[in-house]
Amino acid sequence: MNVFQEEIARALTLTERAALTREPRLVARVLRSLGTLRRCWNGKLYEYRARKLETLAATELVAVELFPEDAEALREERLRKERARKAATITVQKEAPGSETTDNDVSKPDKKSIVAAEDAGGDTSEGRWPSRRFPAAVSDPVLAAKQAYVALRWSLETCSPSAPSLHAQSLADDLEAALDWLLDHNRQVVATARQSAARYESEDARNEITRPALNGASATKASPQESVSLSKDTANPRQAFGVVASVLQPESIAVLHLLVVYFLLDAHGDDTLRLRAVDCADRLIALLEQSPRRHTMDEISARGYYAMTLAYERVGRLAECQPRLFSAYRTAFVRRDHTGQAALLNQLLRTFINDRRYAQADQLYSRAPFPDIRSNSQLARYFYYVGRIKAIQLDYSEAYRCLNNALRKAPQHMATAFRVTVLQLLVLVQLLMGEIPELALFYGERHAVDARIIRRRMYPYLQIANAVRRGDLVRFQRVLGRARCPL
Amino acid sequence: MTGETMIDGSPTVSASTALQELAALVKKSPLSSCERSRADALVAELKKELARGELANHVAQRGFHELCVRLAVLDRDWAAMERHIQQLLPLYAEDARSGVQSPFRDLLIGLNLMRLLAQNRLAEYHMELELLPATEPQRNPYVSFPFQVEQALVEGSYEKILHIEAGSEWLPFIELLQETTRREMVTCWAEAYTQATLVELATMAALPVDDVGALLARVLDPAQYQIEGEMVRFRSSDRIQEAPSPRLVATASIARSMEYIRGLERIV
Repeated sequence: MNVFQEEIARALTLTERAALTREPRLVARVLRSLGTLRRCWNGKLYEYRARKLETLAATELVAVELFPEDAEALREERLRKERARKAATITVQKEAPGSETTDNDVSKPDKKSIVAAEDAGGDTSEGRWPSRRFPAAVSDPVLAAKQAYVALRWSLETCSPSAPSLHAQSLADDLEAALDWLLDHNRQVVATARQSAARYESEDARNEITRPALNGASATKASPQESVSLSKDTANPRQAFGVVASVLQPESIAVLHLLVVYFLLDAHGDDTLRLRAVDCADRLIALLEQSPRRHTMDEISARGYYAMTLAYERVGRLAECQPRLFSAYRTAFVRRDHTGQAALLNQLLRTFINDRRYAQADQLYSRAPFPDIRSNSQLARYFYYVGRIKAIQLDYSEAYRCLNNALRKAPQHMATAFRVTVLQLLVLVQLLMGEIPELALFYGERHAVDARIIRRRMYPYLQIANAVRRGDLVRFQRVLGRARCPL
Repeated sequence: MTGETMIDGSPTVSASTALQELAALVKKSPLSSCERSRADALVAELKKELARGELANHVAQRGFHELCVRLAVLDRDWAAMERHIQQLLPLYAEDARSGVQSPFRDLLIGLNLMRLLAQNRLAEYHMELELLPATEPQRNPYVSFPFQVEQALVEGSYEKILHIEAGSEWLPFIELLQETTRREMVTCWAEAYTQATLVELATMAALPVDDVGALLARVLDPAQYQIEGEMVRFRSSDRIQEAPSPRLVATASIARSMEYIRGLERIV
């Protein structure tokens, strides 16, 4: 049973318990762990890790050049850290099979794993905890995608007798269709990462990156051959789930369906796959609307609507979502469902702004209050949309304030594309206010993982700001003609 | 009313004849008073038919609203114009989707933009402009005119606007636009000048000298300005006050530096 299967099984158990005990915060935690899952099978974890290793190698190269006598000490330290990391992954893998053999004491392994998860998450930085649990994701995303596919198929099959509303067959078809595209996507990710890694002349850097890849491939080569065959006797649902799987709560069904929709969306396939994703998302929304709406369902339905708008946007039919989003927003408001309200408000603003209907977006912004929620990502999105509306309405000071808030609420190391977009609009608004933005804005943090991406995207805006600073109209026109600025 | 009762069968026949009559009236733009009352009567009749749902034809509805907009422009009835434009824009969006286009669409979109500019609603002007395709200002002569006016307005080259030469369809907007421009100019004067002569202000605003006072009274608070004979003194509460004399400032900083030097000498 591979790591993804466990992870999904644990997520479903937790949602079961949360639904039975009516705890929406537990559901929120489960969904956040699903976000990690998604990053694993997406190849994003591999990318992040590869880039981090690159930047580490780059800094060490610089350090070694400046202080050659410390080169040995640095190498020693690096080897020590690698050994510690590998030991941690091995111990975690040993723990995982141990938890599934105890079948009577089902509540304890859950608590133990939750405690272990919290410990791991608490004392390490946010990047290392998923890389410990999912070594395949960090070293070989193609393998991770295969394992994820296997895990999803398995969970669908085990859950389908108890949940006839799941339509497992159609979801399984969707998964199959998406698998090849996802593997392609991940192979490209690996290829680009290896290319950018190969740019560094240092032998050490290359060994660093390929060594974990080799280790990962060799260690896990044994397991996928067994698990691909979908052996149902080793994966006992009772053992895995811990509760009687004969009656699944609607929350768990919705979570499983949501995972399938995420798999389809992450595959980034061609038109047929995107239409499949739209159908799947439609079915998810129908499921959500039919199920009893308790507060445990709030987060799940919020993400379900997000997935639906994303699917429709990829096909270009975003405006069709509006009636559904509006009725869902009304329901969420009446039921005091704050997370759903915030998410749906953001999606509605997005539909208006996509069509450039700023007048209607402005009316929605003025009528609908943003609820008081803890989720920073929703706040970041809201501030970005409001900032954009204000910028079009020539209210530049308000727009500047909103966009700065959006930058502050956005995650520091992830969500590069969002931060780049906000930065670009921020630079334009500052120029329109008459101030020249400072240079640090265009470069990002110096040794950040995504610094190179930020610099590359912001370069045309740096040229524009320079032209404005010098008052050089010729240069300004030249930059505008050459670059393709989306805003 | 009489046309309706006479023709039994489709009421749309009377609607279309009413529309045609209205179109003919609107075409000869300076309307005498009896023609105007006839036009108003036709409009009322067509509104009733619209309310009863008998103008179900898309083209007929569109045509009706277009004619009402043009009548409203002639009467300088901006509220009515806004109402009819708001009914018209979704119809144009449908047209854009199906590919058909009304012959008056360019003109009316340009008139709407000009109205927003003249009423100094720049935010809404920009939001409307966003909805048009990017090639619109070059392709559509009725849009390039308000576009250039807006650029001049935002730049601050107000004399360009005050001495503008516009075609006949822009005439109702020109007075409103000039009033808006003069208001903007007055706010700029209040920020920029401490004092100015009435003659200068009059030449800038392209007004006779006697009207400058009335203009200032319309726009500014009485506390912000003061007319003293030939001069106008502008008072702004948050303007940075200049130092009374440069020598005073220098003396203060010299004294401060001497204190520091004495203190340092004592320490060292």
